[in-house]
Amino acid sequence: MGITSCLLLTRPAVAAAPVTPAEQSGIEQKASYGSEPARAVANALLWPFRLMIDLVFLTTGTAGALLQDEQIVPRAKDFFFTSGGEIGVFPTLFVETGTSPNIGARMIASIEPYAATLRAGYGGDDENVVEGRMRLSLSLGVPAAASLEGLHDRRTGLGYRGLGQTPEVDGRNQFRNGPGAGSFRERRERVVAGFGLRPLADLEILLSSSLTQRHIADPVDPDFAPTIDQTFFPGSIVGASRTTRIVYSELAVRADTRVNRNGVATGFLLEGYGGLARGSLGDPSRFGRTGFQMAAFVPFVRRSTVLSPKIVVDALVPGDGEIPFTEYTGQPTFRGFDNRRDFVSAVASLDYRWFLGRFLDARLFTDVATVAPAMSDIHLDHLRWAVGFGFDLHTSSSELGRIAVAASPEGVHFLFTLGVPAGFGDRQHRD
Amino acid sequence: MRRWLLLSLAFGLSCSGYHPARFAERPPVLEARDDQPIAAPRWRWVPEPVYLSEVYLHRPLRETLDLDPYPDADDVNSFDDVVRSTWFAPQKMDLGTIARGPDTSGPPRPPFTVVPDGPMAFASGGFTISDARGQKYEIMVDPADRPEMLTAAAAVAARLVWGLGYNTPPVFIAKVSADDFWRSEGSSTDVTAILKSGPAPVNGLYRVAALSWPAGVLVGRTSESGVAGDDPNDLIVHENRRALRAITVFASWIQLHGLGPEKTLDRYVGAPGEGHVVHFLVGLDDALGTGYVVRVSDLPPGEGGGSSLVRFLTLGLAPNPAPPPTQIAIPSLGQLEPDVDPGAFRPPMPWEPAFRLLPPDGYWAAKRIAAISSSQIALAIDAGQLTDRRARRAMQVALERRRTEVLAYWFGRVVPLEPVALTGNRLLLRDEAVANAVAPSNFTDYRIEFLTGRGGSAAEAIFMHPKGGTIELDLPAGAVEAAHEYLVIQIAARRGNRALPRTFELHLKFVANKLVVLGIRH
Repeated sequence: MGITSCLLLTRPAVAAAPVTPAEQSGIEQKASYGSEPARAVANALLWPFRLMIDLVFLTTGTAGALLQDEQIVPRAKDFFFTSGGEIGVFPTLFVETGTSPNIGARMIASIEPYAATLRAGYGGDDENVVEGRMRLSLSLGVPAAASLEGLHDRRTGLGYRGLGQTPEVDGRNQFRNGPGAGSFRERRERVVAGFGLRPLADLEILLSSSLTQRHIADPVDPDFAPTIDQTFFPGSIVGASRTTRIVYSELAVRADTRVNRNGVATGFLLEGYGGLARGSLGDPSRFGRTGFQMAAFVPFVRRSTVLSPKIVVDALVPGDGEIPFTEYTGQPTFRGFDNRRDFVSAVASLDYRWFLGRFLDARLFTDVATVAPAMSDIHLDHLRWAVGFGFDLHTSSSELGRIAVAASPEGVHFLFTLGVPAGFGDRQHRD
Repeated sequence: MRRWLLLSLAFGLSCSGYHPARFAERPPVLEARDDQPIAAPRWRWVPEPVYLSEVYLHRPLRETLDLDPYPDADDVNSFDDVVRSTWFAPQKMDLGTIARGPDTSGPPRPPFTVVPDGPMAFASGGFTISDARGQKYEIMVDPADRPEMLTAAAAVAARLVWGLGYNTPPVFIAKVSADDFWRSEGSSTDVTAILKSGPAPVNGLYRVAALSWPAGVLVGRTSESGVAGDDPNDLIVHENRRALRAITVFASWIQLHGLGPEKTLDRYVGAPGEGHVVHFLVGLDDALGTGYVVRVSDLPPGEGGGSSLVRFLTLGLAPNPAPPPTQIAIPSLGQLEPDVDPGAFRPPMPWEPAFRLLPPDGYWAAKRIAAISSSQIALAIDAGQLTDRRARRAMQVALERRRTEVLAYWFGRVVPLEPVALTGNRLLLRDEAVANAVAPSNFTDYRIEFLTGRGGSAAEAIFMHPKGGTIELDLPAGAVEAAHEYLVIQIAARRGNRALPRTFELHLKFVANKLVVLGIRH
């Protein structure tokens, strides 16, 4: 104590329970300052925002995404899980650009080696989702995993501009009242079964098969106008105003020589895939998909400054059936606006990534993208581009999150992802 | 006079609308009594992705939207002292106690059975054994090029940290032979290879550090925030524990590398259902500069130079010359710097208790360090059994100098007064900075205010400029009168041209016709 006993009140202590913080401090009334009321009011106004951030991180963002590794936020686990810790239910909140806020719940069950999640969210009649995923880690002498997923969602305010890099002048698009984007809403049901295997340290083999049913219709909300039928001549858009049911199976092989996905690792990435799609239950769709991506991660000046050129080529190979407009190749890897579709897509990018701090990197990037009816039709004319910068957060073994801002002639795009990426079967989630 | 006007103005502004805290009329709590019997808690594990998203994304965003300042520590009593608990267990600080160390079963006794439990208490790895008595130890060897360095650092730092009042498993220096070890079923540890990876044996015996665990069960790393939901004894959120916040100060003193969750471990001690959780500080082989050793063979830094902001602005291309290699003349001594900047010392990655370190927490920690004398430091160094006298000397000099710098910094962040005696209406206060010779005497001005319990003035302020390190104060009649209801003595100070931040507060009241101290705040 450093003080003589004459200063002390003396009284024997009793009771045998832990002392509460209030008891421990001996303070029966806290100090107060003149500035406190104003701060309390301001803080109260900020409370909803803090709550939203807490919800997003403690439930939706972290806990949900980390299910891939069967990892649950410990503090959230105390609140939302059964006493055994196997099953938990979380409130969730999604806010996505251009759509209404979506609230719901996510259930997680984790009983090794199984992991399962079920999430449901509601943001209106045309903005809702129910999704279930199950994953089973396998011991086959090499790392392997099997997964089964089911999804139902409704989205509205989606846009279709037609085919081609410059849809407004592409002769395949039959516009009624001049070029423009047609709005639509979509109801989607999908089941995906996947199997992933890592026979070598740098090699992954991914086999997956999905059944996707889509129903496309005009949006109910008059704010989403014009509709597809108002933009394009009726009947010129295959798959609009009807239900499509497509079974798609794919084999992908990925070689990645980077030691890990964390930070500024160097190496090469090569991935190729091929798949076949066939309509079912009377759906006349039939086509194939193929593509590849190549990327190099090379040190530039320093070990921790990495330059990575990358090219992603995706192609849709027509068969003897129809191709619904939603199945044309899009450009999900383009960091501008993904609003061009055609048979072939090519996205080239150059990223410069450098070390900022432990588990934190910065990134400058530029993307160029084009689509074309065939590989031979790819030109450098009318290339779309996006540039941006951002920050990457990673763990000692994998990526964890990205925050980036991308600018392109079409506008500014804010990108945010959080969570450990799925190791296997992620090509089925391109849209 | 002008400087007093300015000081008074600042003081007045800070006090406008100020109502002092009110302490209850009861003695300070000395024991947290958080060792009540509980069921063994679940294993606690914070996955790395969860931790990183929490400290790098969630918390910064949330705290940007929170206007409240960090709260004062909750594990302190009315005398601004950390109470004895499963987190902090201060020792009697005499020379014999420091020389003997904690009462344990001592060094391991052969034969040793290597068990499959992974080592968790040494930062540099190792393996776990059970000795002839069944007592569990973690074993660690030195790197081949720096004999005695890690083992000595672990033993010395463990003794110092224990002397500071923290639970840490004692570390013994032992000489062992490869033949002493038996491998249990399930263990794949190649003990011979590990022993041979270190310095050559002397007379056939290898030098190792043996960390002794008390009987019990490990329950994982200590969560840096919140409380453990399944531990009814854990009532104070960890980020608001001074015992945790202050570790940053101790780490700066002993140059502990890698401060963070990896330096904490919880252990359930006692029979199932009758035990409780004890919180340990571990990974002390990273102390005393061992974690900062630079070898000639090390690659130059891969990252750009400067702070994170500089690296961001320069795209990571700023020059970053390789640091000079650590001296090799005294291989048993790490890169132990004789100087420290206590204000700049930070964990390598965010750790919430360190972020919430407030001046009163740092001041308390500095007092704990000040209580360890040069003789006690020397006795702690003896625990390392360093054979090179130059290493002992250098360690002693560095620890003493770093101690002075840590004290000077944290004693300058508050008004470092402590009450010594209250006789009648006469109060004697001691300035810890002057008493510990980190601030000159006859250099400090004090302005002493007397406030009622509601914050009003109870008597005219008094200005003092004592020549020594103590303030002798006769309470004015108005203050004595006010003390029948409640009196707060508030003291601001200025050393030379620098006003010390914050104020010292002493809360007094007449109880049974005797003036007593109810509370202290720095």
